[in-house]
Amino acid sequence: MENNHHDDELQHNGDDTLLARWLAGELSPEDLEALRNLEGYPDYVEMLHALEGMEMEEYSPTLAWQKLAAELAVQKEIGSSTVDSGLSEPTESETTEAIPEVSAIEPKPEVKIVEIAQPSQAPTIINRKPQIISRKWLAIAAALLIGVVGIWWFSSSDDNFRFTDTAYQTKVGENKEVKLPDGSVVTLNAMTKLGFAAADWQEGRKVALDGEAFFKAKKGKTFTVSTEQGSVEVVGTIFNVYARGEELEVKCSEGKVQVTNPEGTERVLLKAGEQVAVLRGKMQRREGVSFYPKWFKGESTFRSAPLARVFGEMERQYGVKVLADSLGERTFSGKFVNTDLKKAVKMVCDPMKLNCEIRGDTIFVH
Amino acid sequence: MKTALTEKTLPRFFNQTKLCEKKQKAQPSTCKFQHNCTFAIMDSLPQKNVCHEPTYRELFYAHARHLRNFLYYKGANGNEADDLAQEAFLRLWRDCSKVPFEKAKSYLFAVAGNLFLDEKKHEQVVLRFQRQAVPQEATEETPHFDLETKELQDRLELAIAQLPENQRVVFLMNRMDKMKYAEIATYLDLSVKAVEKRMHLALVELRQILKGI
Repeated sequence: MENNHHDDELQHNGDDTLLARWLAGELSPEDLEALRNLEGYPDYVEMLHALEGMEMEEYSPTLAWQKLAAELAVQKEIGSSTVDSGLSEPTESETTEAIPEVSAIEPKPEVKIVEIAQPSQAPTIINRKPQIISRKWLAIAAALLIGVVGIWWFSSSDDNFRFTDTAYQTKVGENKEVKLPDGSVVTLNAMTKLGFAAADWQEGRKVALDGEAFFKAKKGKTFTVSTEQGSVEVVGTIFNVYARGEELEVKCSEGKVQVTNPEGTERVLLKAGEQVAVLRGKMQRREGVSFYPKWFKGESTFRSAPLARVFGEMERQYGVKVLADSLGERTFSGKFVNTDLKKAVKMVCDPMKLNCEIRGDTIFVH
Repeated sequence: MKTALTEKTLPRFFNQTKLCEKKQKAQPSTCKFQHNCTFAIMDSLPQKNVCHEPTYRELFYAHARHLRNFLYYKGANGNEADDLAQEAFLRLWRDCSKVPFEKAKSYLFAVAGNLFLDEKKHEQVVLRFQRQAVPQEATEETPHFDLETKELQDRLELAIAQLPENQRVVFLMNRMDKMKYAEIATYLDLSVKAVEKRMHLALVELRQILKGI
């Protein structure tokens, strides 16, 4: 009764939950009238609109769970006095299987762990602390942490990949097609790493990229490609992203693409057929983009590209090492084939009047 | 990281539970909508065992992110929030036989809140949020930022950090984690009405603070 009385009083003085109920979409027509007469109503609308575009940083429950499981395993080790034999033998094959190669980290590593996590035998110890996970699992968890997480953290120590739980990486001269959870398709050029958070995909389409890839993003919510050199945002379109070293280059084949520098101070909107290069935070817009990038068809093309980048691409396509005296600031416009090293070297060195020499896996440039 | 969870360290949690159980026995009907009784009502449902590993993992996947964000909203920085959330889960495991499944999430938030109090010396709260394009119209195909929105977002970040902690937490759980008021109420062991009030106040306060920035 007292409560009701109190509420009534507040009602007279002004509704103290009006804005809350407005946000929840629970207002009656009278309430809405009151809302519109409320002082600062336009301010609230504007505030909430701006808030729509603000989000919490990405969070990977999978990684957090792995950390927690490892911590529990450690505590367990300290807490238990008996040593259980047969702890590792039956699990060894599974363990090695579960550790993905660095070159192609399996998608959804957590799925594997989950499968193994089901204890095959019920734990028999009753007197001690609860058995979270069978000993077998603990052994695997420990092994996995050294394996999966170790590899993971060392290979993607850069912040850009921090939110991801799934990654693909291509080797020298390799192209790979990756399907994302929403059906978008990404083709990776050689020596490229792509990562995303499969567990959090529903909360936002976001991938991390180091290298070069061609994206066919399905229509839908904002699709973000995060690179160390800046970020690329689209809704649904086809585009190519090159992000290596200090350079970011985005070519838009279809639709519209927004590119932002790492500081977020500069952004540019690309239409189909346009491209932008971001070099050390500076943006340069150009025109003329073919629908499919040439690397897609076994060619590497360049337009006023620094020679270092051209030879870098050659190294990635052929797995060779290019040793050059000094390339200076010279730039190259043209292409080389990705299937024949001799031809490729000729295609670059001849027009540039460079003296190039192939010795095994090394190319000497004078 | 020093205090164990006992009736001494978390009297509120345990006392309310007991209080509820008593009330529930005496007058089940009156108890129903009083927030400190939610535990008692839920007790009557069939229970899952927190000590059961898949159940524990399920709890982790369901609440870890919210818990971590909750700590961040309180004012822990990213790493602290990660660590404190993990510590809360470790304690849940340690006390799993004492915590019924239904109480697990409010237990986690209560423990995490206490851990935060132990750790933090009321430093300046700093909050950072990721920015996303705000579509001007639902049909618009291209992401569109306008400078004013961007500026307002910067000011909002500062203003939110200045909100009283309890308003800020509720406000961000709703706006950032997209949790419903009823959901927030169960996490924080509050009544829905209390959540709504904090939410309303947070907006009013925010507008005032923004004027000064």
